[in-house]
Amino acid sequence: MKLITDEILHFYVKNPGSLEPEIKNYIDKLIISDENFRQRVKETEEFYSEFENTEIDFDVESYLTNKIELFPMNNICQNKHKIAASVKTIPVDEYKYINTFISADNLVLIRVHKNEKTNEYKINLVCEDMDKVDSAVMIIDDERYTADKNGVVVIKDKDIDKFTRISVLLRK
Amino acid sequence: MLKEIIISILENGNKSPCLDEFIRICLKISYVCFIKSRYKDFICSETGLSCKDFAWDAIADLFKETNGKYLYFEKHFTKGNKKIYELSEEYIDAKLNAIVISRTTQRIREIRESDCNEIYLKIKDAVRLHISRKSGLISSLIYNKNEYYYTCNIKKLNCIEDEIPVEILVEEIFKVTNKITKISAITELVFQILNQQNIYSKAISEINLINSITEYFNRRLKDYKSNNVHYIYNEEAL
Repeated sequence: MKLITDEILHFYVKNPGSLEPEIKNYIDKLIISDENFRQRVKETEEFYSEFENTEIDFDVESYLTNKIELFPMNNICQNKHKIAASVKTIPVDEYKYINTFISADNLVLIRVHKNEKTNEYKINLVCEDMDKVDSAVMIIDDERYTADKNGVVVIKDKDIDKFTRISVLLRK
Repeated sequence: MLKEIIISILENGNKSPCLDEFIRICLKISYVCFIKSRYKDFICSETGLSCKDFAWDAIADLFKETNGKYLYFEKHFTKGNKKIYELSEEYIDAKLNAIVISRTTQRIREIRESDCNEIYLKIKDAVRLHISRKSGLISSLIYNKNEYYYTCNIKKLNCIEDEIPVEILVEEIFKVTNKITKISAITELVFQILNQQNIYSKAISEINLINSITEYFNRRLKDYKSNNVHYIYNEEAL
């Protein structure tokens, strides 16, 4: 009895003509006589049929690097009530908090601040291991910005709101 | 085409310009294998991963680097004395599909057997490490979507479908010794036991190998805790 490994089986299903005649004849006979083997062949054929009909693209970069998708954090607690006496006069060029984006595992987040006067955005990256924020890359709507050693990026040329697609590539 | 990609991967490792393309091919195979699995919905809900993410999770192990090279593929794309240059495009294609499908199926099975505890995962890592270190002595083949390991000559492999049951293998291990604490030593012993018998196959699937060793250690632990079992064996005779 010969051992028909999976690679021979795949070979048989895809290119039966290229297989050695002796092995091909053996498999042909086995299909008739062995129900389990017949099932293996059927499953392999089904796999190739599905494989041919599947069109899918993968974001390989996100698997090979530490690319992390971020999502707007809506349930953040913001205390909007202040005692009148404690409210300082806000200088007009100070950055104002806009939104927070957070990763699915809650380990990476960015806080977005905007300077209303200069229209600049300041983005602070915070993650569990703060050594990784140095030179991390923020991908904002397909444009890449490299953070400084504190994980801060300042941009001026685009608007950021809760619909902006943001992901982060951390250092390995 | 695929042959050129794999040659580039084997030669240049993680510096290969074809790496993205190669990973895309592997991911598609893994993805299709997964979406055809009847456990797809269960696993997605259990792990919280999407089908695409699971496809990568299942095969990520294959892309472990050693000095920037992918040794797992190097090992598998050498057939006997034949190097990859001498293998046909069709054979390489079939081999890659078999490798990726086998790894995806094994990952599905690991998650299904959700009693995976810490000791199981540690043993799995240790067994895989031992096998990769002894790649010259321990050979592997892929049969019915599972990877099987053996140390005898391939011509001496009896029917692989009659794999030794875990319970019998554990009994046989305990007949020889109950004192081994190194996973590498117990793995060696399993292959010795398999080679010395003719009733069952001399090859063992990765999952059964790990389960047997896990069962061996669990039983030792249980016996130690209950302290009411004494094994009778003649150490000199071993």
